[in-house]
Amino acid sequence: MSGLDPQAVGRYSRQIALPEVGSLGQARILAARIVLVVDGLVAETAARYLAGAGVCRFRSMARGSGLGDLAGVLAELNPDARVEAWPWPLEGTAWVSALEEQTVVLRVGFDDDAMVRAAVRVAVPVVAVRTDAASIDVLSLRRHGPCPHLCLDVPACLSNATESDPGISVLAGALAACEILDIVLRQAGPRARHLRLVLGPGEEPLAQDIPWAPECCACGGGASEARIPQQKLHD
Amino acid sequence: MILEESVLLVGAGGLGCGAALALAAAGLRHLVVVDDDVVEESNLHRQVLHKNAAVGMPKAQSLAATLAQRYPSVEVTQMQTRFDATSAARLLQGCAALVDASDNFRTKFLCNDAAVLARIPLVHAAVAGLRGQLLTVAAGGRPCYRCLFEDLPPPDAGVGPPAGPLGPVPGVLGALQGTEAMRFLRGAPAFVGRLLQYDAASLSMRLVRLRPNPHCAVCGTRPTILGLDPSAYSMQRSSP
Repeated sequence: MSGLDPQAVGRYSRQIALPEVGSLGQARILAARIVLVVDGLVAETAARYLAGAGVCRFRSMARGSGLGDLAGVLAELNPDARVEAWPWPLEGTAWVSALEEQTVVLRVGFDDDAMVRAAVRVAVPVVAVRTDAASIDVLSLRRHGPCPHLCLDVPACLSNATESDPGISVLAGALAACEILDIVLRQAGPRARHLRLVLGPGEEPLAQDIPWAPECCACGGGASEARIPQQKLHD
Repeated sequence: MILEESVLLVGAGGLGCGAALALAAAGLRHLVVVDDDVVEESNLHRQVLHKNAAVGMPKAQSLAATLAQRYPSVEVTQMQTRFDATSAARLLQGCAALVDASDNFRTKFLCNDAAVLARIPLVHAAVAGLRGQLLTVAAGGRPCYRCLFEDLPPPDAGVGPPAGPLGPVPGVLGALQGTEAMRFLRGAPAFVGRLLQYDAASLSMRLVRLRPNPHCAVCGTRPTILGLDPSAYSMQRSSP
């Protein structure tokens, strides 16, 4: 169990025993830095599950009132969990500073081109979640794109956030946490995935890969500012 | 929208914590939680309603306390007991739905049979590793859990060192259970007769339609399970 102290081994033993995790994977989870963009029940639920699983460092970009509660809640679950407050909203290149050296971003709702461009620029994966009264969209964008800027008509479905059923928000938060952990564990290369679950009789879930659009101005061939040197693909 | 009905939650572990969070968030007023286990350190990575300081505390008590702190409007009745054939009917009294958040086959079959016989809707879920499944059983079944799985597995089935699940996976299935239970109470369930399968590794879900099994022992045309016999839910019993 290299790199893990005995207390962590005991607490996370069931998770470490998974072949998809192991001691190396658990070490990655413990070292992960998660950015929560926008507060609310989706972010709170995701943070609960991430802290429970071992994530200790959160950067919360909230509208203000939720930060104190979140820090206390997470510390009760995981005494090593810390929440750092960052201002929100940000403009332009301020996003680059906010996202640099972070592991994954969780974005609730999705109508923020500047954040997308910054995430692509600094090679930070993004998990975006949208909910309404009866459906959930989870968009997982791994480093270097694809991104929703042009690659698919995802902004249209993700940005129209309407009032959600709070129970559905809890579900969305748990789904986001699962996907974030998968990103942390695999450290895989580019992939984009979209899951849509509509909670209604006769509705079928939609799960699809999002193709990369070379003409995308954020992550495609024309995005000279956003392109990341090849050596950073494997860091 | 607040719902005044009671929901019975069997199990205060990984599934139970997710279900309780979703039920409370969605406006449930009365929750009955049944679990005879205590919080262990190895539970904490996935059972997010049990605080670090709750190790050693009864799970039902721990869940109730944390839920009350976050959702003060929810009245939680904690039953530090086992859901078994002798207690099932009593525990189900006055409940409008049963959420099976248990972690063993014996209890899952018992939950199904008790719910079908009592004509109470059941939301079943199970998780393993990075995967999970969910099925809603309407009052009276047709189909029910036994239509698919028929009977308890051999006593040594699934024996081995415990591994997993990945922390949030039971949260997903539990929250789905809570959401589905609330939708059922509001008259619009999504998964009656359909098995939902979730795979966290591929961020995918799929639905498998189930047909009622006319030979099902509890909801078939000639049911043989007409009551809850404790000996029928013993894992030591050999399969027929």
